Amino acid sequence: MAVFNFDAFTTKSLFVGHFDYQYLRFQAIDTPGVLDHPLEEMNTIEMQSITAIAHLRAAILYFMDLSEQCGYSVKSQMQLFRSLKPLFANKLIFIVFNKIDILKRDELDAATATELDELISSAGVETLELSCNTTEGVQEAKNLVSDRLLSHRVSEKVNAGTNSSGVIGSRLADVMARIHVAQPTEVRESFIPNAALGKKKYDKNDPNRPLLAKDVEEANGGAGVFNVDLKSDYLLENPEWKYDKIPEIFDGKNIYDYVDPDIEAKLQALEEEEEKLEDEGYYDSDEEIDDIEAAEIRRKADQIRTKQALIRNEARMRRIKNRAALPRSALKKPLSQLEDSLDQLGVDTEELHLRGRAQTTTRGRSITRSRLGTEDSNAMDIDQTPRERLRSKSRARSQPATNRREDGVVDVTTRTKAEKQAKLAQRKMNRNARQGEADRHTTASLAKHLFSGKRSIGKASHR
Amino acid sequence: MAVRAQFENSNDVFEAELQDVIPICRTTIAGTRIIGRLTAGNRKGLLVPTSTTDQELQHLRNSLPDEIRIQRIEERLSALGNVIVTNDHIALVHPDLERETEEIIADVLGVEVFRQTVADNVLVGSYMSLSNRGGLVHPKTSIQDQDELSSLLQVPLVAGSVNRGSNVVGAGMVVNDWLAVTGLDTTATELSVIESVFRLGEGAAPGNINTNLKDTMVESFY
Repeated sequence: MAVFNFDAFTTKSLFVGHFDYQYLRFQAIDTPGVLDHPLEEMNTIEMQSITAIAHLRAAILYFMDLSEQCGYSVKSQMQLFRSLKPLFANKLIFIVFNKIDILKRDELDAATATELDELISSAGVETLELSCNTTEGVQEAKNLVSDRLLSHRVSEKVNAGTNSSGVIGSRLADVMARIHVAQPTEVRESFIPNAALGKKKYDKNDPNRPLLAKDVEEANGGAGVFNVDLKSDYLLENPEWKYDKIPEIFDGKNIYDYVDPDIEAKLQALEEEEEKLEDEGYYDSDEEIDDIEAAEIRRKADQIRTKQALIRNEARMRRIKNRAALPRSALKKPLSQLEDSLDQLGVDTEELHLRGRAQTTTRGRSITRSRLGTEDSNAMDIDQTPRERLRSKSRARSQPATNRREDGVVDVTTRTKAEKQAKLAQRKMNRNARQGEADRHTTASLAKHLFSGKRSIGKASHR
Repeated sequence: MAVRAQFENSNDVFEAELQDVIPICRTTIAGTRIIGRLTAGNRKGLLVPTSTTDQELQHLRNSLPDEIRIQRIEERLSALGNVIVTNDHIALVHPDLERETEEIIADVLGVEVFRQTVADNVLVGSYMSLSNRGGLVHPKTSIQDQDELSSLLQVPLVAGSVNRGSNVVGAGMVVNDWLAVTGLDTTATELSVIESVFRLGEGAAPGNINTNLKDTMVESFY
């Protein structure tokens, strides 16, 4: 709420005051007297007040002095209002007539009154009347303006939080959820002791106020000297028992474990009840089914765990030591391993086994009689001899795709030239009878252990 | 009436407001001073956690009237104040509480017991405060949840906060049918909501919140 004071130079800077209304804290700003001159000529204080008026989401109270005791005529006050009006766009504006103890609005002369009425109706503002001197109307004005401002701000906020299709935004919905009161269908019985209803409100300045533990403490020397007596309020059959000493341990036993005289009988009763319930089958409802299911789950879990352990072990054994790591596709796997694993999965491997056997090629002598065969006397004329049969199926000698003698030479002349050069190069070799690359060559014969690689690195210290 | 108090000198406030109305007992629970979080109870009984010493139990027994039952509970969730919220008719408890504990609560406090959550929090005792006349729940509780809880408890419920926006309403205040004591930071708006929903004082009614107080609430929370 911006309080806007006409009285010139009563205020030299912005004054901010606070007051509480409707559990909310309101700010009232008293702006320094704004003189009616152009914006460029205003000083800092005046600019401050203009800023406050223009930019705060507030209600504007424009105070007018109809008695003209401030030294400005009502006319000039109205003129100032007109010139400031553009700053008040979209704001709540109130014109407040001050000093009504001196001159009320209806006591104005006719000409001024009509002009004022015109101004008010054209600006569409509300008017308030008060007197600070007699405090008449001050409280009413404050409450009215606060109420208007509050509802104005709330409606603005609700509009801002609601989109064009009328759906409330999530942040506003949170607030709305806090405003919602969930009402029950019936009323629960409540309990308020009569002493609470008739209790006098505690007043710490009242000499006859009830004594608090703190007062007792103060009277006895204050904190650290006196401690409140916790036992004085005990509710016991005999008040003399209040300060009785009770040991914690007696005869090596915690006495609180034996505090109940009927503890044995109660335990007995409990145990009997428990036995009875057990006999009636109170406890074994659907626990058994649970047990069976749980056992099955446990068995499967066990199986999984064993399998996992086996796989892990195998992997550990297989771990490569001192040998090149081969890709899995290059590794040989025996058929038996495949069969084993398929067997474990429950697949019939009989057929697989036979097929595997059929495809293996045996080393050593072929089991057919003879490649060329013996003459068959029973053979018919059209039948070929085995040799003929073989020949008909044999492949022709392979021919190289390119003839390397002609490769890389362009024409006949270059070819003869190349051949001549080759012969020349060979001439010296032939004359000296030197060994060429085409000559048969026998390498030095080595003992088998020297090249067969049966002894890997580190088997013997010699060599 | 609702009053603000600071934990350090809350004794004076409780004494000033409750002296000669109900018995006041000063105690520790398991040697600690956070008794409100460790215990739960109503007009008929008091539950204390398993960590309560024998001497404390004896002290409580001597200080409280005989018609109030006191029971020490063997429960893993030992901060009973955080896991149980109760009035004289109904108790809401943490969903993980043991079945035996649930039975003990029903027997000792003379209430119906329901396993519930408040705004998806399992600590119902921390996020809710309850009397026979009303209840305050976590500020983020949805309207649907509020209605559900309210029809279960049969008391008016409002989502609110204490201590200037704290959502642990159960831990930030204590309330009975005629008095609420809240933390010192509680704002005037929060206090007015509390007074309205718990019907503390003259003219305070839960209906005020969405009528008279509505503008104030929107203004202060949005």
